[in-house]
Amino acid sequence: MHAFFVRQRLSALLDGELPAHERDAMLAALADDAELRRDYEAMRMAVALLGRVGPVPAPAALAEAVLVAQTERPARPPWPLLLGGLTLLGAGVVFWPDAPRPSAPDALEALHEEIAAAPIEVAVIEPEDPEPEDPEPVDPEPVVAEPVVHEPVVVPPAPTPRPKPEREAYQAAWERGSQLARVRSVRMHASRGDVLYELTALAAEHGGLVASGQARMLDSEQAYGQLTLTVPADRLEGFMAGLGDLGSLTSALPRPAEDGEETIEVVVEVQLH
Amino acid sequence: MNAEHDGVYTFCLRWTGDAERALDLAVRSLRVSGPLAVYGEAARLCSEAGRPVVVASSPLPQEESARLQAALGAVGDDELVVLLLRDVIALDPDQVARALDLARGSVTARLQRARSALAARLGA
Repeated sequence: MHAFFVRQRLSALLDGELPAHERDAMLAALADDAELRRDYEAMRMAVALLGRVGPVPAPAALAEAVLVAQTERPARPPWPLLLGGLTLLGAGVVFWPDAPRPSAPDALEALHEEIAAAPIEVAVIEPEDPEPEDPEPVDPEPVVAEPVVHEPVVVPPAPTPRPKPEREAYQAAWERGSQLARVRSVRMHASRGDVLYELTALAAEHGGLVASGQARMLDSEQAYGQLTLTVPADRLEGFMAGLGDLGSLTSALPRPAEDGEETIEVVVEVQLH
Repeated sequence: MNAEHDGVYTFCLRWTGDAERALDLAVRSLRVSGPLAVYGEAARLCSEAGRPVVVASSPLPQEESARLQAALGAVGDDELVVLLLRDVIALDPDQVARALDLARGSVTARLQRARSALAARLGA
């Protein structure tokens, strides 16, 4: 195994994460190369040093503060409560100011504070009465809700995290192909030079290997890299999904797998800038 | 004793180096639900709060502590988050990936970069 690749996998070796065949190859390479052994030992010492920093017990005040935070009212506009209030208005609920305040659950306090600074009382009138009798003037004059809102109240759902655009693009490309489609050629943009190392790690994580690689500078600010990777056919999808985290996929060409094909060769071209 | 509280507090303490600030950030992080999501939230809040990571109050001897802290300065923010969660808080790589919503390969690669940079700096 080439020292370049061994050096990129020292951390995984240290964590005992490599499959047996790769671990054996790494250990053989370390046995043959004193410089690699020195790098490995330096990394092992650094990790051991960090481990000695270790977790510290949280102060008791943390648990207390978390408990308090959990019982606090969320600091956000009480839109659900306000919308609930509109619904009550639609059902004919009238708010009478300057009257004794009923006991209200804590959750309604925000709504009360929002609609009246003064104490309030809630009374219900019949909305369906076709010919209401002329009501006697009431003192104090009630504040009747103005236009009654009968529209259903729709609370917008909480935003859900959207997948990254490049992953969406890949997903769309993948779905356009058949179940047997296999991506053989990928082009992507990336902003970090070490994305080639990450590609190597990603392939290894999915049981793959780097067959060959090259990189060259295009000008002072741009570079081009190409890796040919071999990935087990049944793990290609996971590998491709991981690519989306490393850069922006600009093209991914699906091609049908051949019968009985166990490994897939993927050529990844990376435009670095 | 709550391991999650200890872990989140340690992360915030090591990042900020300030016990009071770490407590505040830890409380805010722990409002997020999910055993691993709290670490992701802590990482987000701490990154917003800025660097540097401080290990001065660690159990290490002062000289060693200072050397480690200087070496950590060579590690980028994204890598540092992974490094602290893996090697100080002792989450396993899968947990780190879930906490930070990263692909497993990204965690492996960041950890490799972080450890390489740290080892190189400590050895220099």
